[in-house]
Amino acid sequence: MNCTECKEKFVEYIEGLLPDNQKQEVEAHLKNCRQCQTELEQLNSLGKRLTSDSENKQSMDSTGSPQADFENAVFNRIVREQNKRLKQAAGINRQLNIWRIIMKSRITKFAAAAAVVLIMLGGITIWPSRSVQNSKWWLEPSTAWGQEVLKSLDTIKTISCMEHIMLVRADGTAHVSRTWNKLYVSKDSYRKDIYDGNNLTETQWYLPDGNGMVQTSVRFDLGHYFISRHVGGFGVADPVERMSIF
Amino acid sequence: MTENDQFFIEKCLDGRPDEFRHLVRRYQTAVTAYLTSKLGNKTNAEEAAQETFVRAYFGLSDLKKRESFSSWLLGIAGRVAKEQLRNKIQLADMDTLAERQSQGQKAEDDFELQQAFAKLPDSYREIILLRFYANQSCQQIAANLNMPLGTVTKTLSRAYVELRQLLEKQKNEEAQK
Repeated sequence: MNCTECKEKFVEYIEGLLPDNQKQEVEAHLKNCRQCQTELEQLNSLGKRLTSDSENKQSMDSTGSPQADFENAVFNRIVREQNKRLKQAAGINRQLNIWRIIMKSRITKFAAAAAVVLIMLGGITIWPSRSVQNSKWWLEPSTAWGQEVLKSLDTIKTISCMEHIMLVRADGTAHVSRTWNKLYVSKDSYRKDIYDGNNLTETQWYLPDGNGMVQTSVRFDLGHYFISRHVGGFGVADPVERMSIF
Repeated sequence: MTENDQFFIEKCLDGRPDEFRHLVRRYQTAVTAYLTSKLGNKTNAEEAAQETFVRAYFGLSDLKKRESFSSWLLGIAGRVAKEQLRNKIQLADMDTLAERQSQGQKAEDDFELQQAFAKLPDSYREIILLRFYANQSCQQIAANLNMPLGTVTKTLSRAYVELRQLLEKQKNEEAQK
């Protein structure tokens, strides 16, 4: 093995990707070649410099759980933007178009029944808007009739329902999600079981926490779990929030 | 976590928007590092990184080649950086901007590395971001970009050469000042 051939193998050598025989060849060459040794050292030190810069960038945000902070910041922005877009869409009376699409399909007719309930509840906006900063998302509304409705809802401990998500694209075509959800909603918390066919892939719990809430997710499909804190509800993923959108 | 980007993208587009979380987690350091090199300032970079992910979220259904999510994402980040720079300062003033910000940087920030990084060609920068800042192995990068492993290691090897040359050049320029 000459120097050029040896240097060409350096990245694979460092990454541990070389088969044993080639690894031995590289090492044999290195033993007798000062120039290649230096070259490899420089490569290793560049790698270390990059690793430490990367670690530095990760640890610099870390006051508590940096990842979750960044993630939540992104999701809060997404939710704000989504609400804005949905309101704009409703403003140009897109709902009528959506209705037509729903009613055309025999399969989705019963889904439309569920949509009626959402829109009726949403029409009287019993739920405070997310845009009200620092307000608890499960707080009672300010209007008297809203209080009445909420009082009657309070007597119901838990609502459980099944939900199948259908996406209607801007061009009018629809997509029915592979997964469906089983929801157990009480007035200030809920649980969502996500199924793919008959398989339970994930269970999520949402519980109040100060002005926000804590989401705990157990992923059966990925074999891990995570806990994260959100300000307010979970936007499109939260059935209560979804009512406030309409 | 071994699932590739495509797995999560498909879930997102299938009506599970919260799956986007995994993509954010996977690339947040890479995107922030890239933007720090472009903007020279950590606070601006983080804000721009958030904006990048928000745009990516809403543009996800327009992404044709799902295996190139990372390049696409860095492309968005590049545009966000350009907009931020345009809004804040004329491009001609970039050197003074870099200088000023280098003074405000923390001691542990590798400013020379960031500068060299900003000058790397896109494909080289991407591979280094993925390898070191998204902490992906060469095999994972190959799977994600749908690229032979040999191409990944060759690109990485060339990226090292280029990066070392840039660092060397900067050092010499610095010495001449």
